[in-house]
Amino acid sequence: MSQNSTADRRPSSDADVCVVGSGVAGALVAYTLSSRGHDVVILEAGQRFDPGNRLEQMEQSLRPHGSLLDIWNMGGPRDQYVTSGGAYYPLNQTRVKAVGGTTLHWLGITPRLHQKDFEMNTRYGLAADWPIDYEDLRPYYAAAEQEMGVAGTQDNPFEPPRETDYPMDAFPASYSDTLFADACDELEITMHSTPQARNSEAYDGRSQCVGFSTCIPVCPSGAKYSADVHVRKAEAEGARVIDRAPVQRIEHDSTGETVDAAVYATPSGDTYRQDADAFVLACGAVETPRLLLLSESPQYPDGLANSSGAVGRYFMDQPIVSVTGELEQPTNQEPIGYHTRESHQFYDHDDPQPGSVKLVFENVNPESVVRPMLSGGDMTSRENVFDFAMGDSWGDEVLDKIESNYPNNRVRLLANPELLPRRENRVTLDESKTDDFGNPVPDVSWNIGSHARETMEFIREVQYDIFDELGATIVSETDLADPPPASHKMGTTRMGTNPEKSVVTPQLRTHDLDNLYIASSSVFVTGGAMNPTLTIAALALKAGEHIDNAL
Amino acid sequence: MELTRRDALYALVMGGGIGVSGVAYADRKAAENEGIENESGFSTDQLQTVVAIAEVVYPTEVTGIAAFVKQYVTGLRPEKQASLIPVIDAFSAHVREIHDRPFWELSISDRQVALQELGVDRMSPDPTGTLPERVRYHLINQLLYGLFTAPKGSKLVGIENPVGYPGGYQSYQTAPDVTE
Repeated sequence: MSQNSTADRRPSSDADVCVVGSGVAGALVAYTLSSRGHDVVILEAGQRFDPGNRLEQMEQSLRPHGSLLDIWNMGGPRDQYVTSGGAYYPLNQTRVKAVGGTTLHWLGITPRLHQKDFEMNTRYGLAADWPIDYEDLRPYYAAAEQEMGVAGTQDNPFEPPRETDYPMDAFPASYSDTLFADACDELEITMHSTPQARNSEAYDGRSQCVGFSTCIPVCPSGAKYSADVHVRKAEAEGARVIDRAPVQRIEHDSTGETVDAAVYATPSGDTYRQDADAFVLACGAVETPRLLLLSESPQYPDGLANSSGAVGRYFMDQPIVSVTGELEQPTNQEPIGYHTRESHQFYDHDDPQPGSVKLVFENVNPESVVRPMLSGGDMTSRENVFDFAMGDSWGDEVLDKIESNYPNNRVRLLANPELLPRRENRVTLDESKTDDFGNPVPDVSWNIGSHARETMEFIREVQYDIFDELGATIVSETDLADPPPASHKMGTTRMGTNPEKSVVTPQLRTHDLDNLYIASSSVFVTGGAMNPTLTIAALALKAGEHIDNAL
Repeated sequence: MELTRRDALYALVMGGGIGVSGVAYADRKAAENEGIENESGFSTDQLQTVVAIAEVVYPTEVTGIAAFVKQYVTGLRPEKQASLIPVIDAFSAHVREIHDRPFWELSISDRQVALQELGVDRMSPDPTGTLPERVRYHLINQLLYGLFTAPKGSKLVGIENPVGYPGGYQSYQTAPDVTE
């Protein structure tokens, strides 16, 4: 792992574009622009991890010591935050600050949004419409699928129109998927394949998936797409990456119409200014608004590019609705790390309520037996920070415990319901707490409104119906009153044509500053119920094109 | 259930990154290594100590431990091997001081007692901690990791392709073998 604190982190001279963040959005913008001949510099707050260490990281993830957050250096003084909404938001478990960003430990599922997601106000009188529609984004979706390498098959009767086949065939159904088939037939629920940015065959110089089954937190084979792929491609086109260089603020010129520089810190304690002709913020839906709010100035007393007052507002995620059941037969849950079948049947609804929801047929991977074996038979979660006790047995004793704790007869259904943008769901600065550079930390305030709650209850009933038909006994279910988030952070610098109500234009440029662009899930107007990463990638490619035209 | 040197290679495979199946890689390496006893930096005494620990912490159903363990630890990455050796030496010195004999000469039950006397069973693993913490991390947990990320070891709990082993892409599609 790169912890190089002596690398040359001085700013580049004559940079055309400065990209802040190297996750999927920053990487694709940087690649798009560098491959078109622009001089690009990427400022990344986190470190660069060596792909050659992925197996070691996997072993670290399976061993029962330390924290899963350590694998990608998540958390710590750099990542301090608070959460003040009605629902607790575990921010540090949902993002990675490193070259490649959160795609280093994402699941890799890549559906497109549906047409209705762009037209929520027109269709249902809810939320707001995007200033672009599905057709505007459609070619960028196709390009993003090619760039990332998406495996999929056109067997989904509910998916929006597409012009090309997926770059790779879909992953075959798991055995446990097939157990759901009869019940779903009986209930007239259509199962179909799951598009995912994971190689079902060798693609783009990367291996086919071999099934290490540790997609989260780390894919050792490189079969799962991560944005460091496009960071390297951008570098091959001449882009430069400065890692461990958290941007402290963005500074504008005397007119307040143009950004002059990104001010960043380095491990040596130096602070530098990176000049460029154009700037792209690609730091996700929390750090992007935080950086804008930190960059307040006399012209922008409420935060840079925040004339609308919308910076930080309309934060979204999708709550998880999950039910686990047991069958009277083995389910052969051999580990694979991801799911292979979904249903989008409950997505395109006619009435406003219930909202869209994506149903997932989960492969209930057996818990890694490594962890309890190495924990001396301690079956409790090591992520429970209050549990310091380790089991004290090994050999036959642990084996007996594990055999009785891991029955091979479980199935699980998951669902992500849409959560409407709410102005009071927001990211703000908490001045009472600071990070390692003395900057106020982000406060993520997240509440689950009635629309999402009704949708959750609706899909829970569908899940019950499937389990009834299947003859499964429910053994656990997530609490609808306190669901965990799906780690799909969206909103906070929304796109729109009205500068009084939105932060960026349909071209992803801020309304307020001529050369400041945002490529991030933060520009989403609504979030739908689909995993957002493909849409982030498509928007990043779109932003890259607009910036190229503007330079 | 008998372990073999080939099973140890399955535990060591790194198939995904190089585009070949782990099984094919392990088979090829097994053929290459046929007849090679020890080309590593471990001494015979050190290997005997590690085998003797495995005989305590592995389930009694497991046989063929010596061949498996020797192949496994000598196949670990050089830096990993280098981290094991000082812990083995420190542990061996401790046992010899208490019991006046090498660890491997103790009976299985006495080995169990020796580990418990050192407190290894009640300490959390820590690669740079106290001796019992280091023994737990570098020796006991490394041996258990090797066993339970290998298909045959994982089969002890009914999973043929464990998490951490690059064989899941084939196995997840197959129905359970209910005859077993």
